[in-house]
Amino acid sequence: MKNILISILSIFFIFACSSTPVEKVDVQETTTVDLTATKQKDTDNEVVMNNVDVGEAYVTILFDYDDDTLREDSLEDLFAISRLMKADSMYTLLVEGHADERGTREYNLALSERRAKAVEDFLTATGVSSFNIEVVGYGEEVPVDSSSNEDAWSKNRRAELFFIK
Amino acid sequence: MIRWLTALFFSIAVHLGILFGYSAFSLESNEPLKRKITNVNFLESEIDEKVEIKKPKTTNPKKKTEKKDQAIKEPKEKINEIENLDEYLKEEELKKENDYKLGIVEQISSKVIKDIEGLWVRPNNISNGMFVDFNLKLNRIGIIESIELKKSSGNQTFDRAALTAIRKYKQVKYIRNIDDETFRTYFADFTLRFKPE
Amino acid sequence: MKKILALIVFSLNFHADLVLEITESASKPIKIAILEKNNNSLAGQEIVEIVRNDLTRTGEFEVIANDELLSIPTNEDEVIQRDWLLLDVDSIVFVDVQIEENNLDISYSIFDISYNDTEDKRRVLGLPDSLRQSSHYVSDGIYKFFYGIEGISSTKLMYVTKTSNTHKLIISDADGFNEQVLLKSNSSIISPAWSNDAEQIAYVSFENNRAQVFTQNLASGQRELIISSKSSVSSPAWSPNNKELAFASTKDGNSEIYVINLKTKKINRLTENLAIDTEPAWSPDGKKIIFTSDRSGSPQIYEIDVRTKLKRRLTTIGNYNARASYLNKSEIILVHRNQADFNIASLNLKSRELSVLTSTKNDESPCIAPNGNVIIYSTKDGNLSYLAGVNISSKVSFKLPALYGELKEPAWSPFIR
Repeated sequence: MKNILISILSIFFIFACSSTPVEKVDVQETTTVDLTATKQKDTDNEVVMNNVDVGEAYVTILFDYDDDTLREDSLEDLFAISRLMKADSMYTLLVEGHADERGTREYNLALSERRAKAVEDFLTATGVSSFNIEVVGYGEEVPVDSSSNEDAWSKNRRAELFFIK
Repeated sequence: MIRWLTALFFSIAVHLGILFGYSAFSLESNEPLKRKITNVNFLESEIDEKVEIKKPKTTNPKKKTEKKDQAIKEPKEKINEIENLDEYLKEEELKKENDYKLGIVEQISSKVIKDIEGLWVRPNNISNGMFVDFNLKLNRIGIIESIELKKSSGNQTFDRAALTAIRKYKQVKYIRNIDDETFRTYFADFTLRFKPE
Repeated sequence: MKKILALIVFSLNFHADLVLEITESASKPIKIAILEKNNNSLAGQEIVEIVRNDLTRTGEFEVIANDELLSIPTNEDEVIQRDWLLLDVDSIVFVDVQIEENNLDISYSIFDISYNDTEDKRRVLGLPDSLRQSSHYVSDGIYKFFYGIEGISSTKLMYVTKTSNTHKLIISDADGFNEQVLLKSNSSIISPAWSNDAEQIAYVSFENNRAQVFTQNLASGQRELIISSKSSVSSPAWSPNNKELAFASTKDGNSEIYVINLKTKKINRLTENLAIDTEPAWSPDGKKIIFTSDRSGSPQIYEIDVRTKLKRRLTTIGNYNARASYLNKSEIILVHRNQADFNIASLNLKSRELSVLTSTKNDESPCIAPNGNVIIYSTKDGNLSYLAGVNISSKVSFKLPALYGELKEPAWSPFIR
């Protein structure tokens, strides 16, 4: 209501002094969406991976810089997991991939997912069914150490494996 | 632009006139050609003419040729070598003077360009090939007395920024030391073009 | 370096038409003063201060301080030209502020010192509580008068902050003031993007434990998930006409580029290979998309025609080139690594010349101001991440004050006026 009055006034002003170019200031209104207030549900009822208190990772696989290939020192842990899963097909494994902070965020997101997928591929190659494996990438968004040095970075380049039921 | 063309046209007309006039004479005897001391003969004056249209630095020989042609029109039976020597020396003097003057013009021009480049703050909305021309008139001590927009770039901001640079410059101090003729010929009235690279 | 071109043409009048050609310019700021006219109000002083900061921040203006002035005129008639010529001031901007209950009326005029006359007059009308925004309009008007392109003082910045475990998506004025929170979450938010009419944004949220792209209407806060998938969906980019969104997703096995029509929801797949393809960005005419792909072994920039799907590789120098976006139709900005440091660089698509623009070391997320003249990016110094920028024409670089421990992912609004 007030705005309409001002618009009319302004238009009057504009016509009164038409030789001087006049600009009307646009103000942008915004609304805050607070996701922390209420627990938001996934809008389409798809499976939401509830990381409800999975605790610590069962195993953490580390990776080299710019790399998504499994290192030799990771294979022993992965064989152990493979045996566990083949023994009991009720286990579902959640593989979360991560990257260190260097480089662009989106590329790191894809890289982290590829790392998680490398773990999945290895396990399925050993006979584990892919139905029992979930894969997700978090890019550089969830570091274990947010310092900017090689020590922190090497800890962040990882895949964390969780057993969920 | 039109002045330039008219001047060129007249220039060519005069030259052709001289050429035809000379060819009429040369049909009678070839000897005078051999005895030209300055080594600029009939053929070369044609070349000079062509060169003048493109790279005007050699236009001075045109003036020189004119005078030489006149010298040759004198009695052709005997060419007084001493007389020709004087002429030759006079012509060489003139040539040196003209080169010297052109050198000065070039020097002053490059200084002025450099000065103005230091004052010109260019706007950010320039497009390829755009330029603006101003016609400047200076008084004898170099003060810019009139600035006339000769050809707009089509972009008001660009024109204004160029004009501001000229207004800030105010005076071409270097021309205080040159002679009247050079001043009148080149700097009393000249064009300043702003054309970003 | 400085070329002389003196054309001398003789005419029979023995008057040479001398033409001097100026080709290079000084890259120095324009020196101006900003003075309040007649009345000396609190609002007036604040407006002058905001305009001063806006113009100084561009690196293309030097605003002379009042205590350096030899005389202080309160209007055009009181200007003593000599006092200003001595200080080498180009122009005085006189600002006249009238405040009424429901109206803030700012008139400003640009007085040229060497011409000794007013060259331009403008007015900005707004509400009294939008004083800052009105001042930014004045700054932009002054910028445009001198530099011919739109100023960016009245545009907005969008960015993500993280304090303890709370992530916020915020927009603010280009000078950092007037923060408004758009989204508050316990999970990460990345890749915010403005629609080209500045009415909507798109971003990636991890609120459901994986990367998902949402669009959100700024005014109403209404959100929409663009596609639902168990795989990650990220890297949203609005087409120039706002009708389509390009994005990256691993839904078909590995990260590929897709385009979705926001109305019909029809999806067009653009890449098909085992490599990582991500970070799409539209060309100004909406016909091409540049993106990052590591199909050659390391991340490089490729360009694809949206209709014909023909691709070509754009970057050849460096072992890491990513997050590219168009500066204009023949130049792109990207994140470039040669050796160890990540910098922001520009690549000329015609000459293939790559120029590094920044001297900071851990640079990412470059974004371009809507006038194509300023680049802002995120960088890190120790544990502090902050926004830095560089003005392309003046080459001046600047830092935005670090108000948060972590401030990243800047996105510049389009022109809102």
